[in-house]
Amino acid sequence: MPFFSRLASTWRNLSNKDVVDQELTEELRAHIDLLTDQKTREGLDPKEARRAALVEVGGVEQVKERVREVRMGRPLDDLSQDLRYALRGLRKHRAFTAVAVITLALGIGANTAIFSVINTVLLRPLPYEQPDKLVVLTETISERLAGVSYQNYVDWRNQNTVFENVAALRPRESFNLTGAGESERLQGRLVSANFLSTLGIKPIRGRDFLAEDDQPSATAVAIISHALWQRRFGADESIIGKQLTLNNQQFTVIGITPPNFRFGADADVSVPIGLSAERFKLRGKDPGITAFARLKQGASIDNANAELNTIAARLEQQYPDTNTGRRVRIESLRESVVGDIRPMLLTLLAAVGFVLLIACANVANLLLTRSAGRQREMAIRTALGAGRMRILRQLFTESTVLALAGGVVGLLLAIWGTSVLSSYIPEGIPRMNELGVDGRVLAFTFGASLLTGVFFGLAPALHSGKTNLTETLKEGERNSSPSHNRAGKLLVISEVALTLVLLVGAGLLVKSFWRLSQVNPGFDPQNVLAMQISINARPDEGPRVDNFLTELKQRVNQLPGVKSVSISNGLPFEGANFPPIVLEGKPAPPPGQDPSGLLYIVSPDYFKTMGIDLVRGRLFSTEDRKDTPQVALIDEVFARQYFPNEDPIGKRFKLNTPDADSREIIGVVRHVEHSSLEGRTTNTAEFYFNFDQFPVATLPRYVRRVNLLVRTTVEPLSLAGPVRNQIAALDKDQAVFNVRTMEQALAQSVAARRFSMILLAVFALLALTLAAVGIYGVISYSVAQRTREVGIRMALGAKTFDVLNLVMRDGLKLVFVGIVVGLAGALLLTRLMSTLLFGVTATDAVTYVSVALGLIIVALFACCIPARRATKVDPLVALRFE
Amino acid sequence: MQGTLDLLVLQSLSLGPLHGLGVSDRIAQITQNHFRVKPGSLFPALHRLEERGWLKSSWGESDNNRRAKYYRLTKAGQRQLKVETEGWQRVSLAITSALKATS
Repeated sequence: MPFFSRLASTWRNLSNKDVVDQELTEELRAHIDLLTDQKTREGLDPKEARRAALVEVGGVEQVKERVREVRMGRPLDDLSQDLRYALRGLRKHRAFTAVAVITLALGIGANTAIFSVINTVLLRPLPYEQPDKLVVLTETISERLAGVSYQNYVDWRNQNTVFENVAALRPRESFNLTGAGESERLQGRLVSANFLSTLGIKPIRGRDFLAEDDQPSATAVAIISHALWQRRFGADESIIGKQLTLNNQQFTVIGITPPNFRFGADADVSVPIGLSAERFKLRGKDPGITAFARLKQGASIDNANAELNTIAARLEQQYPDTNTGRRVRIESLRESVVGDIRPMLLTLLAAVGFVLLIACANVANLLLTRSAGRQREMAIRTALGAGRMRILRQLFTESTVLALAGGVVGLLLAIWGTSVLSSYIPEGIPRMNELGVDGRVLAFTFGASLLTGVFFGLAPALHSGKTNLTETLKEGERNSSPSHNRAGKLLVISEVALTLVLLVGAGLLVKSFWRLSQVNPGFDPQNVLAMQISINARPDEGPRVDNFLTELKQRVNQLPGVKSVSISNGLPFEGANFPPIVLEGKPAPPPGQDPSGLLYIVSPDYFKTMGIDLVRGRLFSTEDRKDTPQVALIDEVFARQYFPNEDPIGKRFKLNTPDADSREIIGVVRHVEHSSLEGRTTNTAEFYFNFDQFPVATLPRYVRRVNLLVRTTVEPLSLAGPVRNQIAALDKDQAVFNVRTMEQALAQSVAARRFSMILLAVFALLALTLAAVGIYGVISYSVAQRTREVGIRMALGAKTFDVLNLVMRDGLKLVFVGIVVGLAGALLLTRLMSTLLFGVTATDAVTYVSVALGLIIVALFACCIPARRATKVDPLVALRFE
Repeated sequence: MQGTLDLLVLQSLSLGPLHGLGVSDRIAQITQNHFRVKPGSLFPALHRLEERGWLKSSWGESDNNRRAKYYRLTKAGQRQLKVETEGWQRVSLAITSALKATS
């Protein structure tokens, strides 16, 4: 009952405010009348009695106010009053409100956008069952990462006690889908039977793989993706049990994965890895697989690491030839998915945080300027009885309203921004398909807005405390307040400092990128068209494939605009095998340290087409045929690593397989960066076999795909159509894909870096703009304050230059202090982003100096405009100003 | 003390409805003029107690035909009076014994 009574009172007090007040007035008047009656009865004459009664009550208005104060809903009432007052004020000063809201929206929007990316990539759990129990297992050979050998995986799976499940995956296997409809190349994966169940994913139709499916002799089955089911089979419910022809083999569809299921590289078909166990039977020299596992309840990564390495040590004893130096490294799946991208995202978050701080400083300055004009208003309110708390609350209500308005606009900006962003996000950033705004993002935006409001509201609030009531009321509105100037100066300094840190960060990334683009990849990527052809043929059709390729080369060569044509298996920035080799005439290497290198199998024109220089010896020629001596080319790294201090020409080596041919080294070519411009493959040996001497039948059996490379004299992509037509005319069963120029392939390899560089540069420019506006605002204000002083100086004979000098000097002093602070900050903070840099140190002097100079120039302009205005002051007007 | 004032107001109304002046006169009377409640404290107290649901007010005629607002105890008010009386007695007993113990 008391609760409802309170609620009812609150409602009555707020909704019928006038009636409630009216009643109180009447009650008090009645009280005075009664008191007067009483006094009269006690013998005073009526007039005297009334006066005595009034004295006893002691101020009707005060009593009323005290009653109001104890009333229910008083805080709410104050709040609504403050809100109404704030909104009225903001509506009245439209320009001020618009500038403040836009500034805040930019800051909050940028933060929300980057936070939503961080939320998606780093904070949200991975979309699997109990994802924190999932770990990735990798193998290292003498501390270097290597693909996991399938045979080792089988031993780990059978011998460990820490995992519920250990699953294997061979991603990026391609399948040619033929039969009903157009033939199509599908991206697929080979998986162990427990692949889906380890992740806790169930097929939405049909069944999961069983252990029986995962055997060499099993009936071939496949699980297809939801996307393939929709696209190729029109969501046909009867697909389960139907046959698919993949790489000329029949597979029965047994299941469909859920719509949003993803794990690693995209895959439209998953087939049991056990079907191709033959490919993986050699422990040391096999195509690597990826292994991941689910920890048992109570087991930790450390337990798992310890036990798996015990197993690895046992395997080392058992198989010294292949397993010497092989160890296991276990990390959480989350870490392996997002670990690489984390430093970049945190850098971006710090950057947008700085932008928001600068935005805050600008709005704080706007509020300060406005509050200078409001000093009289505040003084009058204080004189009328508003307490200091009441005024502070009013000020904070205003800044919070502004901040929330900025937050709402910022959120809209962020939603728009992320949708634009997501279409430009390069493949390198994981989990971007999940990007979106959720409750956590909304909470972040709300929290950021509130915090922002308090932060920039602080300046005018602190400032208001210093107001001297009588002084303010006595003086005119144009008084200049020293505390405002001090606050303004501080704001300029911090804005300049923050901007400088951001600019240095962006500058370092831009320079890294420039350095990267200067790296010589070892080939000439200009005017090279590349495409892949997935050869659809049975192993016994070798001659037919050879004829097809020879014919194709000839036909393409005759197309106008074509300079040279080449076929290759293995291509920089695309992929190549990395087989172990045996150097003849050299002592056998210690176990586990077999020499190896990247193998490119190329037709003779490859070097001409790709623009790879010969260092010594000779290149392949058409004279090298199957029936002539087998030859090989090596690169400089190969020569340096395996033939130090001797001439490699004439030496012999072979692949480390039982039936491999011995080949003579006939030449040395330039080293080519294989997978990144950042030097990850700078010290990787490379060697070349002649395509014409390499039997197609011995190309990797499962994927027989080759690159067709065309050097052109015209825009390379303009030849894509004609080349495709030639292929289709020769054999319509051959699927063509991945058509691009080598320049595009290179750009793709640095796309993630470029993306983050552009983002950081955009934020830095945003910061620069905001800071320039901020400097301009503060200097303008101080010029306005000094109009009279300037007028007097000019009346006394100061020249335009003197005035300009006076104003500029003041502004630039602040800018210089800011730059010094900023340089110190940048030195401290950019160290944290050193992993993101390439070819430039975090303390690169050129970047620091040029960025500081740039900032000074912008600041000069920002000071210049108000300074010029100061010189236009008419001394007469200025002196009459007061 | 606010609690004391509340208790006195509730107690003064326990015999029947009174208007504001009546309440302050009654308090003076039952405390042998120890407490004289000023309007600046009385009216906030009356309104506060009413909002809590312990008092109910209505307009009525006074002895000499003046309109006045009368307050009376509600059921909840009577319960509250009991609670506060007991509380007060406990406190005063405790204080009294504490003072005895030290002397």
